Amino acid sequence: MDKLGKYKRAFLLSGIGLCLLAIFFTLRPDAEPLLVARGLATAVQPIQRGIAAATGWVGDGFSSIGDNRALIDENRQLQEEVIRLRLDNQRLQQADVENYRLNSLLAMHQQYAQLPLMAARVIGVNPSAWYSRFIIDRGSSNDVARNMAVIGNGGLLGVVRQVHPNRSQFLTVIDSDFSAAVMAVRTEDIGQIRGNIRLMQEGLTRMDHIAIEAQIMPGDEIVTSPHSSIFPPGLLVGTVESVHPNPDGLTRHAIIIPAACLFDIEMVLVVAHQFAEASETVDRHLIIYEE
Amino acid sequence: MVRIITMAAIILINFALQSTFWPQFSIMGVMPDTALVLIVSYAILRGDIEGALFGFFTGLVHDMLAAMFIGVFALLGFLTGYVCGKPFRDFFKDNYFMPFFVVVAVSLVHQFGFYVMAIMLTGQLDFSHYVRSIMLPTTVYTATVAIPIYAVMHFINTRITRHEANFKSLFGGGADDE
Repeated sequence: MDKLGKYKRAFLLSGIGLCLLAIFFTLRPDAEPLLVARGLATAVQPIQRGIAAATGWVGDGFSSIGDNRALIDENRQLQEEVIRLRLDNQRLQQADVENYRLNSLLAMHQQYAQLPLMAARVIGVNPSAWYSRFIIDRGSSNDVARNMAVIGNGGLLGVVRQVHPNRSQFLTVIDSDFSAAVMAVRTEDIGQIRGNIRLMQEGLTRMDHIAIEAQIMPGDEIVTSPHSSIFPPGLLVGTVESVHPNPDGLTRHAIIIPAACLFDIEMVLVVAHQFAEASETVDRHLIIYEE
Repeated sequence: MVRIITMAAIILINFALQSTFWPQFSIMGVMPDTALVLIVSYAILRGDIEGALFGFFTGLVHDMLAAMFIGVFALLGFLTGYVCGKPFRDFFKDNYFMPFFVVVAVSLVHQFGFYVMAIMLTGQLDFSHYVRSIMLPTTVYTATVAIPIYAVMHFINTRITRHEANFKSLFGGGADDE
């Protein structure tokens, strides 16, 4: 250490240079995690799992003392089933309301029913107040890939953004980096979900680029667009809370209440089908508008 | 060697706690930045060079496991460790209030640096709101855990230093391996 002390300036500059180089080389959106990072993830995983299990146990108010393993496993399976059933229920309700609508929409819901789903446990949270991101215990060895949709209790929860062999990180719909091409079920008005940190703190997000003549109003249900480049069509994203004109006078934006529960997430379902290239970062409409 | 292994373990366990344990105790949506307290404590106890290395690796672990690209937290940690270690090399280490004030100051600078590097560039310019709702609460919460964490780090550091001294007196003044 004392030897290093003589070359403090070189030490300082090389440290800063190393960091800047690392930022430069890993800034690509589809960058694979480094070998070192994968090893590190494998080392931290058991600690995280252990603490997640322990704190969950404490959080249950010490009520699980004496409970056996089977009960916990059963509970987990039931939670997963609840999410699946709610998803089915939602699909049926939507299909009921829209039964008279276009054939293309019906085809879309059949596709929704056949989505391959994979259950995953949440084992950690991104430790930053600026983001809304979670870590799950499934990764590339379970065929999870970037840009796969994540479904929670009630609807679309987020999108997988970073994949390690045995873990991956997803953004929730209220994270300011999340984007989704969406559509109002009742009026078929299209728009784009793009939140910001201020709305994230209130658990809300924002739908932008709504045409000024759109008939969208509070209470309307918002689903992923059939022309989305990343998400499967027809997943419930949320409901409209309020609609506001944009300063440009040509478009409007709506404040959206997410459909999926964003608190105390334990189980999620990953849609095990990748609709877009891993390098896509922003979801957009493949066909902008057809009359 | 003992020092390196202990510090590596502290860094990994701290990250695991930050992503699992602390979110259970988040207040107003913020949680204490325990990594920052560790870096400041270690830099005050061991000086600038070791502080910078400790900060670099703490940030690197965060970058690799939670961030989308590598480097931002490593750079922040590196600079934090270096700057905090610089003037406090000969500081009286048993005073627990100095670290407290250093943590408050560094936390504010840290949050501001992160805001400029990662958030402002995405076009979210509502600075005063973020000061009120994220930066100040995080700083207050971080400051409350600063003294206990510094005490623990001070204890661990004293034990390791004693161990190293014993090792040296047993086996002669060999190469300094930390």
